[in-house]
Amino acid sequence: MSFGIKLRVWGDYACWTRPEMKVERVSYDVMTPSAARGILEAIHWKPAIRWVVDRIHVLKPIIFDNVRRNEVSSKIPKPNPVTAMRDKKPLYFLVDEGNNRQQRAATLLRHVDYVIEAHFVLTDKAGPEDNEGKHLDIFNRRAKSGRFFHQPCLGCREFPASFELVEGEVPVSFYDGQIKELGYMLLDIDFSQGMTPLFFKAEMKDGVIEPPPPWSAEVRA
Amino acid sequence: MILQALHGYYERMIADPDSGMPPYGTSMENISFALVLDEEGNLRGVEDLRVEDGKKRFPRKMAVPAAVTRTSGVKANFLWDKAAYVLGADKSGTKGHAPKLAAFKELLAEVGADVDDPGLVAVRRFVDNWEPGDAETIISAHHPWEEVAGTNLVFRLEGSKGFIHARPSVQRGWSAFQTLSDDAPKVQCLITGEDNMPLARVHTPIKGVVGGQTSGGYIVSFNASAFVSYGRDKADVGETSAFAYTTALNALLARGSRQKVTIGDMTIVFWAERSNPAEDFLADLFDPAPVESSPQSQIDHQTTVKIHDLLQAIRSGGRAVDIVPDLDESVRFYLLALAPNASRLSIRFWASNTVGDLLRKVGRHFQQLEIVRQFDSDPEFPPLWRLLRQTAPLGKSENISPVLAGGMAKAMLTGSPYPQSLLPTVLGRIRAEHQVTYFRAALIKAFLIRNKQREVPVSLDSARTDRPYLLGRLFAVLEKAQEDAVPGANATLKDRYLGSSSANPGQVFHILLKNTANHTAKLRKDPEKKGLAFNHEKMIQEIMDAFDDFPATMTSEEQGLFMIGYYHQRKDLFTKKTKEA
Repeated sequence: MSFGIKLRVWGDYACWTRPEMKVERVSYDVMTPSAARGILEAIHWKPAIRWVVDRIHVLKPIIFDNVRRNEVSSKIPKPNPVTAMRDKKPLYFLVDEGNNRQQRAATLLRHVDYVIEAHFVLTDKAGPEDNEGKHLDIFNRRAKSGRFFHQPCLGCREFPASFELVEGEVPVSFYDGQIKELGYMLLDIDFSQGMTPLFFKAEMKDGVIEPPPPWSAEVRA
Repeated sequence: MILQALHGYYERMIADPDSGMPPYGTSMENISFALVLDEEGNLRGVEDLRVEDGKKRFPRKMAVPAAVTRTSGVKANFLWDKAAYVLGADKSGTKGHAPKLAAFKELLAEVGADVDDPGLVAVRRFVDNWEPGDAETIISAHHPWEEVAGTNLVFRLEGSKGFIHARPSVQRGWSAFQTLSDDAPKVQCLITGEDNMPLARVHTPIKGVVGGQTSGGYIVSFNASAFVSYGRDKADVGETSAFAYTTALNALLARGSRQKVTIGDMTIVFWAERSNPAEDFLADLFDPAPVESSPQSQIDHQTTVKIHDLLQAIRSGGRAVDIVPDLDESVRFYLLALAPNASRLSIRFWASNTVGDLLRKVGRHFQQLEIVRQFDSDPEFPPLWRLLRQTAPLGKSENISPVLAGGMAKAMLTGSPYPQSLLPTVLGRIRAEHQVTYFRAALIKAFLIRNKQREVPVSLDSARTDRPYLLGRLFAVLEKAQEDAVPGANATLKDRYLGSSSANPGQVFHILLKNTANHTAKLRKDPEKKGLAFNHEKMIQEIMDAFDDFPATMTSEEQGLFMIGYYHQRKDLFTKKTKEA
């Protein structure tokens, strides 16, 4: 029995922000593996499982667009919510205070359409009641009926993702028959090593990106 | 992608010794004077390094030990700096400059501790004995103090060639000091992929972007807490990679660079993966000079003609190689459009393409713009900035919408659709100014062809039967009838009805036709103009034969066609008249 799943996700806007240009955002050309993982986790995740993204299919051409948005420049300082909860006081954060405004430009993607191929592995948090078949069934059932824990998004919360379970063949990509170098791309963040980012050399072959497993030699080039 | 390509450009240029690209550990700075010292550290002269350009003297660009990024606070540069640091005094006197001189001295001592070089020793002796209070009198003996005070200075050892910072032993000492002092955390560089690279903490600011701060802006920065995720307020870029991409980009943006153009509020730089002649002439495609009025000098004229030939070739779908034989069309070409935004630089668009494909896209842009010229002085290949000015109130470039400018440049270079706002903007300008100019007609034509897949001819197509086009033609004839009957009228049909007749023909045209009946009647009474009246009536009849009624409203797309029909017919009316004359 295979524990692989195929999920098609699409949307009007997407922004997989490059870490070096995340202030004036510039998107990666395609979805990053960790973003794909995030979408799967929005649909079904438990501490007992860990998602591994095997392949990302890019179905539509890569189109960039440019928008400007008014955003805030500060975060709520961490002590504020802590003390507010401790003292049972209301929490204030004045978003519209004039100095807190930043206009930011974003170079993002339009009309994206991907198929994520992934599987999961059981972690050491899995108890006797956890088995692969159970979690696979849960995921498929939830994905089929469109349920999620939180709205899956295409890189930014403002860009919601539509999704559907792919049960048959993956549609043919726009980039079928082409090889495209995408440069170094964020694979994931290693939370066990103080949130160290991991990069891999992404290559799109026939519209498919196959991220290497984390901690492989390919990642630490 | 962007940074990788810039990094690649740096590596390409550094491999060429004539490129003037500074190596790692140095930076290109504006230097005006050299202080000439003897081995004992006594000042023997002040050498003027500035280069003359016309009547003015400009500082010389020189590779010096890498500049520190000075936003606030006191940080000295090694063996070169402003007079306030080197001499502890400037135009405003010595006040407040003591810490600067001290920082300069301290850095010299720190770096020079293990360096055995007579030049460096001389500089150290010089600064140790220096009295900032005497700066003005001592320097004035060699050169006017006012000129020296505000500029960057370097040192030269009397009787030896080159500058002290360029002496090999000093350079060795400097790079050893840099490696030693580098306690940056080690990361995997996301530009080169190399592991264990010292992290670049501050990236050199990028200068030369139009509208940006003079001190430069940053492509990579995290200048507010909301921009930080996962606690990382720095991008994982290695120090050497950061140096390479900033140096390359600064070189592309430098004054006099042939590889940049400014359109609206954005600055576009471009470069090729390998050396390519397209790097030299792409800027000319944005702003082609008309052949007739090109500068008198022979070389300039030849270039203009060559660009003109090239444009004609690519517009008609021909091959650029026929005009520029050494062009390799398969070379990858990069375009980067930058615009300043709050001390940062935002990327308006980024495109990478082959040279051949890029030229084909530019050719298609000009092909779609091609429309019969109103006056012979109109440029055959309208420069983008002139087109854009036609979309702005008062024709001022500062009124151009930045979004429109960016979209237009992107459409021209990448073949993407023109911005959706283009048509309404142009129609709005026509309505406000009652003028369908050559540029506006060209813009409408290109928009209708590319975005709406409509067929629009270059000049009058009298066989064409779609109603908006015919209505436009009709309006032009009615206007002509009025002009002939009432020469020098204060407000013509065009001034009063051009907008409304295109938007609501059903409401307006019956008034216009009634008026025209009066105009032709008036013409008929004049024996000299009788023929004209007959002509106009015949034309009106011919045009109106093709449709039955006037639509109540027209969409903006139809209004665009109306304007094209009007423009074509009007141009045609006047062309005929000149032939008869």
